[in-house]
Amino acid sequence: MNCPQIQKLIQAHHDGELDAANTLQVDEHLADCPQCFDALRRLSTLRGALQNDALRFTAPAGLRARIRASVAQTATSEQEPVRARPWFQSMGWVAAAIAVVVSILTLTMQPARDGDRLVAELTASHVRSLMAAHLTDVASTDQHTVKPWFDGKLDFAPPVRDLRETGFPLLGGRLDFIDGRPAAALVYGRQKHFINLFVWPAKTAAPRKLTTTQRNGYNLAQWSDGKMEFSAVSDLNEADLRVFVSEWQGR
Amino acid sequence: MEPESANFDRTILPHLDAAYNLARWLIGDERDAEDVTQEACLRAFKFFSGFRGGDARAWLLTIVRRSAWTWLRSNRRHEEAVEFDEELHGGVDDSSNPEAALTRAGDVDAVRQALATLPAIFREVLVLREIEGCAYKEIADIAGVPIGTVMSRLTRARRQLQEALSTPTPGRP
Repeated sequence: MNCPQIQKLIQAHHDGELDAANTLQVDEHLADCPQCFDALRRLSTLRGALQNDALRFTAPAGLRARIRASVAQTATSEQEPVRARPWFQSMGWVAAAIAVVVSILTLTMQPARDGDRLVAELTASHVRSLMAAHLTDVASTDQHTVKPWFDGKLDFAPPVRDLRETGFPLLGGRLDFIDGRPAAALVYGRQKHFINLFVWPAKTAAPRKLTTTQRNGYNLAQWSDGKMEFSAVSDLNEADLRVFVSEWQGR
Repeated sequence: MEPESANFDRTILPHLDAAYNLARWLIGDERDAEDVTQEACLRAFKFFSGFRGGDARAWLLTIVRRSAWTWLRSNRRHEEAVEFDEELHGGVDDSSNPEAALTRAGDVDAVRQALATLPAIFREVLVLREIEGCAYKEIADIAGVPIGTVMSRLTRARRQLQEALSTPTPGRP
């Protein structure tokens, strides 16, 4: 092969997209041709310049939580009628039957009241945080690290406490999206269990006493101090979750 | 309880950084890229029942790319938003430019600036190939063009970038 032919192949060679036979021919040519070798060297220099971590943007904090929130909203509220139509058209009666079953399931599971919707949302957030291996955005047992981490990411400053001495070590914090607004999620451990404590500004100034509920096997404890809404969600039993709440409130 | 959204969370959202990176390079502005990424992810969720497994990153990037181009067309100057037409712009000159000394390749700000000022259609292939490490076939799928087109765009993109990085910084001697 001559230089113009090699020049046509050199990029694919550089990108590892050339078959073995051509790779061999290009390699042989490169060994003898300083000019073509120089072209390859420039491609490498360019690659080195572009493969710099400083040039790779990472998703801003909070974007993931916002997407999760809108996905959750789509999944629970407008649900199947919207998505069912293309299924019927494109996939025939099997998909149609599945769609009907799914719609029935989601309709029967669809929360009836606002409070119930919130409970479902909190439980879903808790489960997601465990499933997606995305328990914390900031992993720290130090409340003085976790609290400032929320600065600038939320429009309020959530109270952060470590309860290590009483057996509920702080594990970290995470941004979440609850009740249509950004919320802080504080993550605590209890042996092998996790507690998500969701915190967001209260809508009404009147404090509300602790109430507990169960949802899909998870226990929820909710209260308000008139400034902040608190919801603790965990697979801990109700008694232990009440202990956690009283330790949290007791400080 | 919501198998579909949990499944989406597990298979698609791990590629959020790649999605945002592509949107950000195509669109430029931080806030707009964030909005486009969010909207594309929501769209991906709505189409998720049609995802048959396979390369989740390429699948998400295809949707993000489409959203980003739609945004570019309605918000940017015409010449930036027109998708490059190989037929119209003629064949590719494959010869390398021996003058391209790449004197500023080590300056990350210069590289960022040079990449940001390439036409979007060239930015796109370089970001996918060099930053995301996509193979030609993946880029072809994401951009919806033949592999040959991917290769000619890459050649042109690299040559333009080489030239930009081989000239002195404007305004400086």
